[in-house]
Amino acid sequence: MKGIVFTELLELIEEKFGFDTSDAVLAKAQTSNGGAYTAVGAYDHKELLSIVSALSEETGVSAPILVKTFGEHLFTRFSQLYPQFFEGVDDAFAFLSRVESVIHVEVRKLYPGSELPSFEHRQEGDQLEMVYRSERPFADLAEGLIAACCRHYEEESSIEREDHEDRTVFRVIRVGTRTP
Amino acid sequence: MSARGTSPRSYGGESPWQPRFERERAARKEAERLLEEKSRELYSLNEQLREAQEVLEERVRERTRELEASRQEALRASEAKSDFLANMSHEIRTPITAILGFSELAIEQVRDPEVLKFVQTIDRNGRHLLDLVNDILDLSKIEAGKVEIEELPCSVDQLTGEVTSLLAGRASQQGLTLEFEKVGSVPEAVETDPMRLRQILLNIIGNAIKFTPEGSVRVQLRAARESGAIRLVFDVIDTGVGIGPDKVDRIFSEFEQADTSITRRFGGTGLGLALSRRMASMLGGEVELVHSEPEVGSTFRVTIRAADIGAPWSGIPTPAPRNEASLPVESLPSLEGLRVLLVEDSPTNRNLFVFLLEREGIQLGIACDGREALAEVERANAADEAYDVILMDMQMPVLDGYSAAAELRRRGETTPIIALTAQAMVGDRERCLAAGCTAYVPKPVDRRMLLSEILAAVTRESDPTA
Repeated sequence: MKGIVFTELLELIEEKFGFDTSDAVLAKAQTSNGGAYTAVGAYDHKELLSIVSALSEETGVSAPILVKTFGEHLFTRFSQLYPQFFEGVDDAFAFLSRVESVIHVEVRKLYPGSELPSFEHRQEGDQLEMVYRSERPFADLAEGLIAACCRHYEEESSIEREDHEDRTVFRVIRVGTRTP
Repeated sequence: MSARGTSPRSYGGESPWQPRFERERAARKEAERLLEEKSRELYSLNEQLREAQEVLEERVRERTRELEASRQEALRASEAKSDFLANMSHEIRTPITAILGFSELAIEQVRDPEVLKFVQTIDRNGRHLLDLVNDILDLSKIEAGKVEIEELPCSVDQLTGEVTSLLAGRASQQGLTLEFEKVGSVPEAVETDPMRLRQILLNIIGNAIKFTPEGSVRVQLRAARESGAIRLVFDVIDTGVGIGPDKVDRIFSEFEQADTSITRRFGGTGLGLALSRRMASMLGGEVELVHSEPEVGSTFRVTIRAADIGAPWSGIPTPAPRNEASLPVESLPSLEGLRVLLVEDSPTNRNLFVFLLEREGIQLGIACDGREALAEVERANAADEAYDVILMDMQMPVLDGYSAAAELRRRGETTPIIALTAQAMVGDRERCLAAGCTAYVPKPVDRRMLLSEILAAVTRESDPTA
């Protein structure tokens, strides 16, 4: 799993819960390097699960909620770090439709051999169906990312989620544009 | 990007470690950003490289296609050229046959010394023309890849002996000594293409004689075993005019002699060395100029690789047996009363043969093409006047000599058939023999060779053990 996911998670923990909590989480979690991650590295996804579960224990917040919240945070960070992916993309559906065909392609250029999840998508009017498939259990993360994407474009949407053994189907239904 | 959101709360705001920590984190993030930027650059450079390579590969493919097309074009042109030359050769040889035949007869009969000089000039130039045609033909055959190398066991001693005795006359006419010696021991027999080797040696030794106004031409033969084969080295050492260092590069080129004045002074086609070199390379060797000094002499070296057939090695030269075909005509037994059928379509050549053969007291029957020949043989057999020998031209209208010979053999005819052909190209002899001919005489016909072939044919005929 990409190092940026780890560095962003730790920073989020520091920000939301403070350094003492993040120290405690890292002390409890099984990590290969004591938490000294770098964005350009790649690490075993089990370490992320271990950090999340330690955080859940520390804070009493359930792991799925933590992961989903983290997904939302991560999207915001992406939009700051990689503004080029947002250029000329005008709404959430357009962005989500490009995850597989543009964003993952770019990621592979920088990090050949990245193990990325796959996203199939199908749009019908105001409904976008995204099928998430991954070797790793991060559908919650995906859900947080999708939700944050809709918010980024200031669109009001509902997200339905259907978990299957080999995939998770998200149905994003656009209700309307948020008006300030 | 700065280390965003690192809350000072946990450090109590006053810790001296906080700015240090933030500085380090900022540095890490800067390093990560730089790394990603460099990775992206590297990726795009790689892409450019890959694209450039693809463009290059496509260009190479395109060039290869173009080259292949040009090659095919050139091959077609070359084939057309060699076909043309083969046809021309036949057309040119037929009149040369007549010119040389009649000039030879004229030389024997003319008494007026001035006219004799004229006729000798005609004869000499005719032979030169023939050499030229032969060389051009051979070269074009080699270029067209149509020359096949035969592998036959042969005695190198005997072969070299034959070549030197053939050239001995010319050497002594010029007052030169021509010597053949073996250096160390050589195998008594090897397997190579004797016809080609003979041609190369005739050429190189002949050249040496031609370009040596006085002194000697020595031929030294050495042999050595070389990875399963035998390397034969012939050094031809002359005391001739030599070749200047500035001209050495050109002597092996087609149609080039070291100097155009050479052609005027010594004659020659300028093809001999190029031809010899090509043939030597077909025999796994080469022809090189080892040494040359103007007015002192040259050493040419012919190398070939021959197959080892396990013959014993010896250092004593065996005397070259005399070639039956080159026996002087005076020593031939009489051919008087022999019945010979001449099959020849050209009236001029017919006249020449009639003249040549009837002088020997031969009873001559005539046929103008293959079909007439079949009818005449049938008639003669029925009339109990069977022919002793058939002389068969190979290129004839209606039914050619190959088909006629094959048909005669199919009918059970055993009379010796001597093929006469102006093709005189490599593989032609084999083709004639395959058609059922007993022997082969190339045109222009050498009178002594023809007579001795006729004699050999009837001798074989009467003595089945021969």
